[in-house]
Amino acid sequence: MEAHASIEDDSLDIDDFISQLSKEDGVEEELAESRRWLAGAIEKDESALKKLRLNAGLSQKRLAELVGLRQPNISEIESGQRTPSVPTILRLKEVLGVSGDDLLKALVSLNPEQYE
Amino acid sequence: MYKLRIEKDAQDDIKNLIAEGGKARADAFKIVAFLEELKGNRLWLNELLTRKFEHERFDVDRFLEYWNQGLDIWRLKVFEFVSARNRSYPLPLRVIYCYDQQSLAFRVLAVCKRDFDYQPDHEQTKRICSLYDSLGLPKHVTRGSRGTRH
Repeated sequence: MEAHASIEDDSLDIDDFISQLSKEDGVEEELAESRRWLAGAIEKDESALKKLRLNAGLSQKRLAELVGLRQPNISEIESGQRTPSVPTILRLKEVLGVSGDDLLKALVSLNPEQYE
Repeated sequence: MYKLRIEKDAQDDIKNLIAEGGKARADAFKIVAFLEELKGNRLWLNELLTRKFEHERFDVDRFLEYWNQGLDIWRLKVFEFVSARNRSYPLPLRVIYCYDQQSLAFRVLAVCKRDFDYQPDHEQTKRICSLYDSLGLPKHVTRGSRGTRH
C-alpha cells in the first residue's frame, strides 16, 4: 500500500480500492478489459504510450511494478517528461507485448528531439 | 499532485453495481478503470473544477442543485464511442465528487445511475449532502442560509 494513510477516514485511494476489488476471482481480467475499452478512445491528444499500456490491460501502477519503476515514473514517461533508459525500453517492449517499432514510434511521438 | 479518494459510500455504490451483474457490472468496471487513469493524469485532474469542461472521453460540470444549497459538488460523465453509430454516448452512470482543499484530494462521494434525478428529498441526495457535511467541507452562503467553513 502507498502512504495514503495520513487521511484518517474510511475513504480509499483508487489503487487500494482496486486491490480490494481484485481479490474476487476474475475481476482482474474484467478490469483489464475495461482498460482496453478506455484505450479505444485515446487518439488525438493523448499519449501513444498510454494507449499501448491500456491495450495491454495494464494500469500505470502494474506496468511500473513489471518494469521495475515507480508509478510516477511511468506517468512522466507517458507524458514525455522523462526519457526511458535503453534497459527500460527493452523491458517495456517485453511487458507490453509490442514490436520495437511500435514502441519506438510511441516514444518518439512523445519526445521527438530526444531521439534525433 | 492531487489525490483521488473513493469515499466509503461510493465504494459501496460500485460494489452494488458489480454485484448486480450484466451491463451494470461492465459499466462499473469502466468507471473504475476511468478513475484509475484519472488519478495518474494531471491534465485531466486539472480540469475537474472547470465548469462545462468537455473532453472526448468525459465531461464535468458543477451540480447546480447542490450549489444552490451551498455545497460545491460536481458530476462527471464518461463517454463511450459506439462505432456502429459513429458517435459517443454517456455511460448510464454519474460520478459525483467534490474537492477537499485541505487534503488536496478529489473525493468521489457517489456513483449514481443516470435515472437518479437529484430530487432534494431523494435518499441518495440526502446521503450525498450528509457525507459532504461529515467531511467538514466548506459551504457557501446562499439566499436564506449561512455559509460555514470548518
